Amino acid sequence: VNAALVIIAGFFVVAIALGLAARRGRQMNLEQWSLGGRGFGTILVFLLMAGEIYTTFTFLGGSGWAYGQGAPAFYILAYMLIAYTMSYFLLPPIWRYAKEQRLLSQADYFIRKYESPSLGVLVAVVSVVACVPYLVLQLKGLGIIVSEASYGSVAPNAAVWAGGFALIVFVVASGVRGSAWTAVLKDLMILVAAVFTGVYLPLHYYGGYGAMFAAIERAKPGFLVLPQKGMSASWFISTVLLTGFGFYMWPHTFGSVYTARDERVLRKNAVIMPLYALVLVFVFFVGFAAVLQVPGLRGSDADLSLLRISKVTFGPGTVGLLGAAGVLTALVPGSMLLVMSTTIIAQNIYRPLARGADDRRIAIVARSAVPLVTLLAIWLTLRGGSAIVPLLLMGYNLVTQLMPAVLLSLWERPRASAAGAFAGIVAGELVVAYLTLSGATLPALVPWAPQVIKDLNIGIVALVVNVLVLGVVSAISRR
Amino acid sequence: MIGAVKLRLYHWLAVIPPLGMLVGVPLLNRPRPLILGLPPLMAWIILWILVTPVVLGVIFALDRTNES
Repeated sequence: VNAALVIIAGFFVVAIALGLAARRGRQMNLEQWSLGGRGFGTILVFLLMAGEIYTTFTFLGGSGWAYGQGAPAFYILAYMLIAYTMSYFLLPPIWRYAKEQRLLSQADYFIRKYESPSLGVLVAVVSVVACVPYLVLQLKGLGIIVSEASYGSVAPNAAVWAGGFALIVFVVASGVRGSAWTAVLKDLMILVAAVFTGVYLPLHYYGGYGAMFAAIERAKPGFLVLPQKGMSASWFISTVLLTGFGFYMWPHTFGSVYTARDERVLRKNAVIMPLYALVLVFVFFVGFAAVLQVPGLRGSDADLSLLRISKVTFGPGTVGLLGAAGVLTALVPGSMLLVMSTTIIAQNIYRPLARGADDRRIAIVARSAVPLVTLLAIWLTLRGGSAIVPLLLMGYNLVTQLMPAVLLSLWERPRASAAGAFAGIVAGELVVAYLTLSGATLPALVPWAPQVIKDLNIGIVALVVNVLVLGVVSAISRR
Repeated sequence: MIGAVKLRLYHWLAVIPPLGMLVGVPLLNRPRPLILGLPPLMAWIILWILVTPVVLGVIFALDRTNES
């Protein structure tokens, strides 16, 4: 047993304890469990929203992208600017409507706004299909972090089981309240971990940021600019727009809007969130510092760069703390994904089937679904394989297809018909599935087009089809 | 009208940071000169992320829907 493992285990226990303590003094009815009784102020909403951006993807993947891809990694920073700016205008009307209609889930929003139960079922299915791979990614990240940071003394599979167990315990007990409370610890840890390593490593190895980037540019010319082809400026801009637009369409992100006490909370958060996004800059610095210090990590192994350079540089105590921060970045979003996907299963899939089920019944179904969804995610994680990566990419594109219908619903009466929204989403999702599963690329689809078009993020295609179908069907069905 | 809130002129200030940042991407996509030690593209994006809360803060201060 080494110091790193003791520290990680310690934080694990504290996280579970915090998650359990979150329920104290509350009657855990459905609204309380799924949405924290719609009573969260600026700080708790901030922590939930921060919980959505600082996932294992940002912690491992942010540094991994900087390490493996270089400049294209900046898209992760840039899309947040779009997402938060948009949130100032997008979230308050959604919150107001959700409060007035006492909505529980994103699918509920579609049902009421478009007065269409079938649209709700469609959105519910899309939500769950998109959430599960995202949950798998968190568990997978957790397994990697624990096994790396414990110097291999815990196998990734054992860590995945432990993480899954922790999630079941505090999600069943406390719901989204557990996520918010655990997020307090997580954000403190990630802030300290990112800023410390992001400042220390470049100074330690290169003497400063300028010297570090100059050294990288000498060793790998062109690494710090977007390439002329492929991940070019055109790719960058289209990806930033697409990702920024899709961001709030994740069911757990959409759902966290409902937890706010009033709409001012959401506007305030829109103002301050961009500053918090800057923490990512430090995560990038770590990845860049690792480029010349721990070279040779290829493909998905680039995601290990942060932990590898830390192990070379620091003692087990520090590595343990970084590992603990990493574990928390998996548990918080993981718990939010669980709360929302099980709420959707109970509210939007079970309830229509079991006519006349009351809220108590729905709450029981939602909480019973937690271990089932977790076990499914653990099974998918352990089955491993690279199959999960296309699923996740697909997940982001799947939820993005909900955006046109949400945008058009912001008016008093939606500007699209229910049939139009339904057809647009179905068409968009089919295109996403086809493009992802066939591995189609724009250069292959339109070899004659100029490079600027060929480099566009292929997700745009699905969105364009979606909007066209939505427009045409709306126009026809209105008459 | 968005969600029964009238969009006012000052709300349109919000398009400045996203537009400003994106327009600069092809222009600042170069290795040199390092700005405060950072690659130009990275420095540019950080600059706009710092501008965003200022712009949204001004909108927030002007926004009368926040009263009450």
